[in-house]
This record gives sequence, structure tokens and C-alpha cells, in this order.
Amino acid sequence: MWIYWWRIWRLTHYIFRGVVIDIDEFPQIKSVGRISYRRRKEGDGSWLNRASSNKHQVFYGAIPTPDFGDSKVAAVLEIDNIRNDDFPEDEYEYIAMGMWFVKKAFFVASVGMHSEIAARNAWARNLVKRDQELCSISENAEFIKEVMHFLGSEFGKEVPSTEDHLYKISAAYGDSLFDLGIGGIMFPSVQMAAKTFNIAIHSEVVDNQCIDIAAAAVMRGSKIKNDIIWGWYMQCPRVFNDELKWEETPAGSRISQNDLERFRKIIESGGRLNQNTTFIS
Amino acid sequence: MKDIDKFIPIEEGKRALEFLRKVDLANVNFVAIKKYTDVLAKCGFTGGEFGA
Repeated sequence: MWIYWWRIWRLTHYIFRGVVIDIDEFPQIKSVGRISYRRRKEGDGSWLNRASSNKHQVFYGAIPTPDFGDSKVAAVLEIDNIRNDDFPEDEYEYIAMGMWFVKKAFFVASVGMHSEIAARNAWARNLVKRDQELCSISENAEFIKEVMHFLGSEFGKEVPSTEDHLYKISAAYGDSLFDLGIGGIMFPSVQMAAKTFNIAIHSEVVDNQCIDIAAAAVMRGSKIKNDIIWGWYMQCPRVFNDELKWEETPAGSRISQNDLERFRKIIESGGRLNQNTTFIS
Repeated sequence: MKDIDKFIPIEEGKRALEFLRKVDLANVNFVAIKKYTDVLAKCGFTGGEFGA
């Protein structure tokens, strides 16, 4: 086995990870473990994610790229349900968001950069260029390129929520890398059309405190027709000893009923919010 | 043969890629697929240091 290694990710220190929460359970969310990777439970069945099965416990998060710096948006779009047609307009969706940072560097495999969607991202194009440098030092360059393109199509394909079996190859490949002891896997976000990247981090990397949480917040999403509006709901600006102490967010960052009524009037009168998904920050 | 090529199980890798390209994902089980992705992973990959 060979690994072609470079060091270019010094600027990407923050990782956003969101977890959909039931607001009734919110008072029990008092420790970082509740918003970190999902721990294995007795009686767990098997399931597939983009870059792993549940053979390994994996922390999924979103990281910014120079093309799109606000990776909390990506973290929301990776997991939200509110955009589903059957999500009722009169309900809120709540997502607990952790902002994590890297304390100790760890090795991350780069996968899926050779895909059509990734080609739109300048950073992915740069990584592809480096992969081509690698190919130039091998007599098997064509084979290596074929593998990279094949994995690009697997990691870059749209997978409907009812067709998890389409993850089999990318999830199995992710497991294969984790079996080799790789700490993380970075790949383009399909939900974000590759404007941001996702990262799958092995639980041992998290438990060894290579990453730590800096702050957390709960976001509340509202739906008006096809528009989604997200605002902050609660926040935990500092985390000590893995304890989450929640406090109210500043009034200007919350979406009040008055705000929603105002947005509804705009939308119902044929006006548009700036984007289909609006984030109040 | 260049140094890097000594570490690539090229023939096994080509067979694995061929299998994975044609596999019926709805009907072939995950364990069978992983045997082939293990081979691809051993053919090498690129990466970097995150957060250095």
C-alpha cells in the first residue's frame, strides 16, 4: 500500500457537526457526547452512510472550502428533514450544532475529488492536480486515474433516502480505509454541490482528543411554503469539561413570531426572501 | 518498474475495479463488496494532514 501525502489543510481548523434533536429531549442534552459521534448501542442494526457502515463509529462533519466558508449551512443541509415535502409548516425543526476545532493534526484521506460535482470546486481541482502529479511517478497511472474517477462517481452521486444500498461501494471503501488505520476521510458534499467538503472522522481520533468542541448552539428552522428560515434558539458559547450549559441567544439572532409573520407576508404576496434557505446570523 | 509500483497489487486491483463497476448493488451483499474495496484501498490513496 502506498499513501501520497501532502500538507495543505492548515487553514481548515473548524468542523461543524449538526444533530437533529427532539426539543422535548433538549433539557437532557447536557454533555458533549450527546452531539458528538453516534455511539454504538445494543441492538443496533446495520446501516450505511456515505463513507462508512456502522462497523466503525464515525463522526461526520462539514468543513469549509475557499468556495464557501459557512460550513454550518452545509452541516444543516446534510441532516435536515424540514425540506422534505411532508414536513409540516406548523412545526419547527431543531438542530444542535457543534463547532469543533482540531487540537492535534491527524491524517485524512482525500476521496471523491474526481467527480463532476467536485470539478466545480477550486480546492477539489487543486487536489486533482496533485493526484495527477502522483500519477506521473507511477507506471500504473492509467489504472490509478481509473480508480480515482470511479471513486469520484461513487462519492459524488445523489442517493435518495430510500436507496441506501447505493452507498454500498463508498461505505465499504470508507470502512476499508478505516480498517487500515486512517483517521479521517474527506469528500465533497453532494448536498452542497461540492461547495463544501464533508469529513468522516474515526471515533478513536475524537476520543484521543485530536478534535475538541469550541461552542455549541441550537438552531430552529421554520417553513413557509418552500422557504426555510433558520435562526438561533439556544447557545453554549463556551464548553468546559464536556459540559453544555445553555443560555438564550441574543434577541436579534432569534426568529420571533413577528419575524415569521413578516416573512409570510413577503412570500404570500409573491415576494422572495434572499434565498430558499435563509440563515439569520 | 518505478518504486511506487512495487506497492500496487495491480492485477488484483484491476479485477476489483471491474467487479465493482458491474456489481448489482441492490442484490450483492456489503461484505462481498468490501472484499473488493479492501483491494482498492491497498492500491493506494492520497491524503494530507488535517489541522496541522
